[in-house]
Amino acid sequence: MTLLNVERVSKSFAGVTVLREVSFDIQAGEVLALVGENGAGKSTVLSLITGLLTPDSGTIRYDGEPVRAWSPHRARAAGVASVHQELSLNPHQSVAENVFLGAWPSRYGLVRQGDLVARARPLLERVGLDVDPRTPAGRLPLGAQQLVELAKALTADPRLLILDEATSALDDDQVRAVFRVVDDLRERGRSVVIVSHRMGELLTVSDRLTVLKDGEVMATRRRDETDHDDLVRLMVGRELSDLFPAKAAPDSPQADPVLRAAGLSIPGACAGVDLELRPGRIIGLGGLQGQGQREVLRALFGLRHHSGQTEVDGRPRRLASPREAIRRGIAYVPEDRKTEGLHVVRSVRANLALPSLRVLAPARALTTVSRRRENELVEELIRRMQVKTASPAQEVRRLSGGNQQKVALAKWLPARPRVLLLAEPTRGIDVGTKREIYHLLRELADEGMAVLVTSGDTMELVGLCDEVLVMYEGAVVERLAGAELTEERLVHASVVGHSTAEETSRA
Amino acid sequence: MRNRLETAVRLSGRAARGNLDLVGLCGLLVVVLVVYQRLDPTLLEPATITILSAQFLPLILAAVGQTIVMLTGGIDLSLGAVLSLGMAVFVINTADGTMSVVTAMVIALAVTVLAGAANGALVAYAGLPPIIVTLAASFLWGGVTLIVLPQPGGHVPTGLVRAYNLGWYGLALPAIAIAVALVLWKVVKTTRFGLTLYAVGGNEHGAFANGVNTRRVKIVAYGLAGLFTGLAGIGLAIQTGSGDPTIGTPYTLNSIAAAVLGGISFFGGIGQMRGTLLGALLLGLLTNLLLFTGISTFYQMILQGVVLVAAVAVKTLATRERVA
Repeated sequence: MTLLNVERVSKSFAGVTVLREVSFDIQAGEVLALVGENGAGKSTVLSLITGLLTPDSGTIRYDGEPVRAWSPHRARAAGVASVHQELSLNPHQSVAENVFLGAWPSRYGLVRQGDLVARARPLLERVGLDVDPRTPAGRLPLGAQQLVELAKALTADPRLLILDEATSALDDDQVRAVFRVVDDLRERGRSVVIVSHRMGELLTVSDRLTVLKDGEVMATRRRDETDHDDLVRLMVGRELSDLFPAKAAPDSPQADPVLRAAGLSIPGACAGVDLELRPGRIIGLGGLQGQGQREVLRALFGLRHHSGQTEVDGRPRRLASPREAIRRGIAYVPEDRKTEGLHVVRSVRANLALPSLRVLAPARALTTVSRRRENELVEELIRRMQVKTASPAQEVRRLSGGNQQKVALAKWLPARPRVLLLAEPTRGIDVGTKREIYHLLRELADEGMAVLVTSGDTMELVGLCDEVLVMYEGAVVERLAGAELTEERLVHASVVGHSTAEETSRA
Repeated sequence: MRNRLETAVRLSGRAARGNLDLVGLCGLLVVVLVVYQRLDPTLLEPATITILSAQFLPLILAAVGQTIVMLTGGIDLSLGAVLSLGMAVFVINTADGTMSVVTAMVIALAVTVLAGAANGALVAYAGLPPIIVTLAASFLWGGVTLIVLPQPGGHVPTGLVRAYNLGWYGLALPAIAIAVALVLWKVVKTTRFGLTLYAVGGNEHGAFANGVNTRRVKIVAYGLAGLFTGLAGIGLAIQTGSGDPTIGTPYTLNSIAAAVLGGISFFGGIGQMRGTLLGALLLGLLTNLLLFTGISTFYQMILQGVVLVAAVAVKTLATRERVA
């Protein structure tokens, strides 16, 4: 029996098509894996199933009936439960209160804590979590919080359980506990949709795998018809002629590093990261999502307290605040443009001029900004970056994601930074603009800038970077350059957590 | 040793942490009470308790209302205006006789609950920031109050006023009213709604994604705040024996001060009502204490400001570790 049927569903955001005519189905008592690179549209598909989003076109049938006015509330009532990588726990309430969030068992309208705790215990046990249900959820380690989410999803005895990167913060024992729950659900005729970056896990637990690429379904395979390599080929395979610019010649003489970090550590985020950024080189930080890449960038820009040594031009410098980092010639284009990169309700002009106010109003803080010089500067940047904007006065939030990203990057250029840090520089951006940004980054590198990029997109790292450091649980586990820098090697190191060389030597 | 300490901390869980915040406040309260006792040796006599509880009731109940709104992550700047409104509606409807007093109370409370729920509806459905909605509402209800009761006046049965302020067969009525209100809150907090209140304040998106009707929660929360604010207004009317259309204004900021002092987070989801109670008592006693000392009211205000900032700063610094 088919429980869920997704038929030719499309969805776009702000003109960017995220899903194109996606179709797949889930049988009762089946575990289906959704596979794809970051940005392939997996999360959007899941949001459509759980009612957080509605499709632009196409239909979703649940239990044979097309769903109408689908919402999280209705989906839940119909037996759809989900566990996401982003936690939906209330950190200030107890584990027991969170497990029953929104559906607390009550008697005469009153919720008794003792009752909550007693009912939460077996659920926590089922997911292999041994904690006091009275502990505030926010005090548990991340992995345990994820298991609390799973326990919460199980309270309603769901017909369809969605696991969206639900094992990302779990250790092996915890993953096994999750899979026991999945197997148990399957035996009882329930269905599970699972999304994970860990391909090995998916090949163990799922019955069928649907591969998504750039918002389209590439194939749906039974587990026994496919293997790891087949899936990677489906996920990655695509033509990319001149998407990426030529790389720096590998044997060209290397300049001295502009920025060097040794033993960079942030408690809970990364440990002992060494890196050297040289003029003319683009270095990538790869790995699964949330292995500390973002925190390394934030630390180098002085946004995160860190320990370890940082040197600029061979001299030890403390990078304790963005102000100091900027003074040392470091620029940062963050992952979340809207909160850290841009003032989205202000104009393109205001955003572009902000880092250059010292230049535009040179003498003292009290001199006024020269409108003429500001205009010249802004016009020049818009031309150079080919920002598509109605006028410099347009609010940044009205621009498309790609143009917003160009503004976030362009605003640093007048200050002639020597180090450029970019987090997820092309997330949510269409291919054409991606290409422009890749070529621009290479241009800047050729002019002598040192560039450090984090990305969850393996193709991007391989195509763009001269060298890629793969991070796993906060440590650099592999450095790939030249001929060694391939998507396969990169994905392998990201998933396995150590280098290929190490593996062969072990075997 | 360290391990044992950690285990102990973990085992004692939330209750201990909640209380830990309050231990400091309790200590401060004891100090204030001791000094108070020195200056006014009748502090613990029934008559004084009656008078003080009559004096503190409006602030305590207003702070209870404010706390409910703040727990959802909101704030109610119209509280003072709604308090005056409740008071005004009450005094123009009362006449001698138990039934008429009860009727007037019901009408007044209905008005304040509706005023609160209107705030909640605007916040929930129009998606407007609570601070703007309630700021606008404070003007609106302020104007309505002046139409209902253009100048101080109105009538509260003298028997009731006397019984309330001087004790009724030896019972401190206002103290009982406060106790009843707090028990009422305790019950509300134990209902699903009470847990939802904390859930919405702590992680609104999470609550929504789990099927909580976050809009209804907000409307009910603001309505409930209206109820407690109305009770505060009625208490104030009975204490003073008449109505005053502008007397409520200071309660807006004082109620916020009491809640913040009591450890209620501005961002919602954190805090206990007993903290608010302590905060309100502290503010009230401190004001009285400064009156005794005969310092100019100007200095009293300065001191109040300093105490508030110091208390919040100490609390924030002491608990910062948890956030990091």
